[in-house]
Amino acid sequence: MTMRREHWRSRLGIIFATSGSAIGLGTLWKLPYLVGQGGGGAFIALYLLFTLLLGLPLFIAELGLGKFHQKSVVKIFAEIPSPLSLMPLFGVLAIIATFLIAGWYGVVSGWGINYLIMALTDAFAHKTTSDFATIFTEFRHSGSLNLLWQAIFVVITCMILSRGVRNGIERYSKLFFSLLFLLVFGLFIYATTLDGFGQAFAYIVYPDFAKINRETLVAALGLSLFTLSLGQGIMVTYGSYMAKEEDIFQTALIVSLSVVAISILISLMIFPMIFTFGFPPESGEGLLFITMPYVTEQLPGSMAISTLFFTLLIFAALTSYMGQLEVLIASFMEMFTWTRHRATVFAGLGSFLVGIPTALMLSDANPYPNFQQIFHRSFLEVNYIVIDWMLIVFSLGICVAVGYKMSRGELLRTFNRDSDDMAFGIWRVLIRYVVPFFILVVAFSHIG
Amino acid sequence: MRETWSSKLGFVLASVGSAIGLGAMWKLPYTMGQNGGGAFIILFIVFNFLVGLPLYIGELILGRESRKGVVSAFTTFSDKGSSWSLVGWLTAISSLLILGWYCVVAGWGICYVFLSLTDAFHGLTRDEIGKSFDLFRQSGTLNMSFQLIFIALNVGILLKGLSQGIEKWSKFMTSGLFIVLIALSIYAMQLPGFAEAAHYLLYPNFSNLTGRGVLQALGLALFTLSLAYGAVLTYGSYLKKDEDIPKIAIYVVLANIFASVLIAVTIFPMIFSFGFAPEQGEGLIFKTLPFVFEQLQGSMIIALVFFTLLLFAALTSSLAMFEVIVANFVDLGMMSRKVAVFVAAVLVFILGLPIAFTGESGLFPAWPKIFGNSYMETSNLLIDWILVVVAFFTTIFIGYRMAAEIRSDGFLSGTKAGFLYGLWLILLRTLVPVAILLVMAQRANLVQF
Repeated sequence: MTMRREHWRSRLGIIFATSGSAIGLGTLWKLPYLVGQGGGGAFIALYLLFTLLLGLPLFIAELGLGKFHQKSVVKIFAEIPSPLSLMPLFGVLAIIATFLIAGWYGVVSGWGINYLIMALTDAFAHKTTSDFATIFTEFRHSGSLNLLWQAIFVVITCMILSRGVRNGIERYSKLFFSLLFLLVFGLFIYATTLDGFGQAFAYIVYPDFAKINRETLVAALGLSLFTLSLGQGIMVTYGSYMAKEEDIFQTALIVSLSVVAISILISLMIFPMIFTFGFPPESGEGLLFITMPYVTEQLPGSMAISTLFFTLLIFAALTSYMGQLEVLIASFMEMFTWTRHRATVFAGLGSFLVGIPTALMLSDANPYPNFQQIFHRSFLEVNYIVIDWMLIVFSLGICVAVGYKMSRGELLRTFNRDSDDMAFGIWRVLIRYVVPFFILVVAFSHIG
Repeated sequence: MRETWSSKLGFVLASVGSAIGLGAMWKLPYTMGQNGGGAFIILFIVFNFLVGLPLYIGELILGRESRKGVVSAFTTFSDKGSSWSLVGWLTAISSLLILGWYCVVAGWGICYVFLSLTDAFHGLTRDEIGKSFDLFRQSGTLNMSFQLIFIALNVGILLKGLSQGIEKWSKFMTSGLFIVLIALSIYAMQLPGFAEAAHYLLYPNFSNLTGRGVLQALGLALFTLSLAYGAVLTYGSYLKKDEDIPKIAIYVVLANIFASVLIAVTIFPMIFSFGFAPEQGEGLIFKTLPFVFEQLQGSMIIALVFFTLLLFAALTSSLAMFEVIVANFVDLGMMSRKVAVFVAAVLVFILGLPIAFTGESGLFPAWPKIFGNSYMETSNLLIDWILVVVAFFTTIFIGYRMAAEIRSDGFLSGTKAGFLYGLWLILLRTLVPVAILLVMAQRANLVQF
């Protein structure tokens, strides 16, 4: 196929699409907790430091890899020469990891739709926390509802993606991400008026160096890697839609700093709400689908606040999910010379199928009824662990592909830098030695 | 060449038919009575003219000047790639969601036509009739069969096109509806409960009129005119260039008010005559009324006539909503009219299935436990939200975003009421959006009375 590759219309579009992809469900349900537990301001400082040392260089590398090759993840790795032809495996790994991530992501985002509709139809009114816990259990046990929302979420995303890079991803990322930013900012302003704001501010921002230990260090390392949605091939794919003259260094710096800033803003929006009602800090499903519905219901303007919160959640999820599916779509289009339309249908259908076990996990139709007894963990937890490992391995692959398999000249051309550019020099050292080292540290900490 | 209405009467009757649907039958009379009767009706009429009419004219202009379906209408008058097309899509989605439940409930109407025809209510008490309705609701396959019949009726008419299909049949059904309604209301005037009903509905009881009631009158004025479903816009897109938009809009609004009041004046004397409390919804139409008819003279005829009327009201409304979806697909160049009709029918059928198959063995047995409402109630609440959002953005689009010369051209061509243009624009730019925002704020519990 000799079709010309689509490129982003504007730099702003790139910034919105990549930030939108980076800020997702994880930013909402995990990051605030990690920051607070890790020592607030002290942790933020570490997180910021690691973002500059680790996240940013890898981010630049992913974008650069895509931009240089102007191909999909699978094709790029397939064409890098290597002993034992190991490199192509990384491309395959990216596809598998993306399927696994997109599988559960579609399901959980679907829960967001369910809760948005509940908020809109005032179904939260006059409920206690235990009511919300019961409702969530009831909901998770209903296979048909989980599948319904998952299907709707996947279909909406695919409708956007089938319109292409400019008219689909770029246009809707711009729309959704600006709305997301407005919502976060609006709700943050609202949160500053709440009683719990002082406590939350102290928890999130006040530096508590006593809490810094080996564990929090590793947590900050991991966070800096994965809040930029690195290691999934998304940024490689988005980079491959960049035109020649694009300045990756600058764009990546803007995006990573704003992602950190917005993440902190989100923490300062969520925790005041839950602290106002005396809840302990928490993370995960329980925070988003049990505590937050209850808390928003108690606040003044309850229906509006809960509706806005779940709208925010869906926008965050949509822009992230778009990036995941695009990895698959771009690869399918090249691997099988499919049209974008067909590739979108298969990517959507595939991730829907992969998500089914998650959707039906607690229902009567659970396809793996003995899973818990065999693995001693839930299907979701096993899923998370496998994904974590895949991200680590893929990140290492990126370091090799960019740090060692691309020549200095190729890199300078990709980044539009002069050979005596200091930023470039620092980056190259980081990506060749420092980043792989830190990724290995994270990997070893997983092993124990 | 785009088809146009073959006569002004055809357009007016189709539009009035689209505005008077199931909601006008089962919700409006009750809302009127509960909120202070005459006082509420006066407000309803005032809002119809100050808020409903300006937006109605606006939607007709947007439709006629673009000569396109909902999404294309917004894209025609906005920059390429702008997000206004989303408002158009949301409009199409609201029609689709409404049709989902509409076709199932209209299917119940068909079932009740058959029940009346076979005199099935004979000698039954109110409770027995209620019980057989509940039994009927539990039979998913029966519900689905009648749903399919109703969808097939729509498909048959839609395939004939605009003037030979929608216009011809709407003309027949809407005039039939008015004749039957007038006949039934005259009959109702002779009933013993008429005085009580007239008092309940018409006597202006200002103490029952709360701030909430005022906003409800506002909401009703907006949505009984079938605004924001895209129906007005789409029907407007088939208007001839020289048609007098302000004038025909006023005809439609007047006919709609007249019919709404007439329906209330027909139904309440009947139920008051047998000592029932005012009620609304399924219970009123499918439980109480069949029993009441059974007690009246000529019971079988009255029941038959009433449920036929219900069916006509539903069909003229569903045709308009179907046309919104069909015209949208066709004007986007996505498919031919024939294919679009079938695609719309399939989508509507699927969306209705959770309502046809309800209860413990239905599609979503856990729904009421999670949402606190049935699937149908939840979808109605959701639709209400989509409608206010669409109404708001449509108003903003017509009032502020459309090029001034297109807007004035649409208003002025063919009319002698050109001097009203300034007033219309002021209302559309200020009062209408503020009114819609108030309705939103009240629904979001942000303002309390």
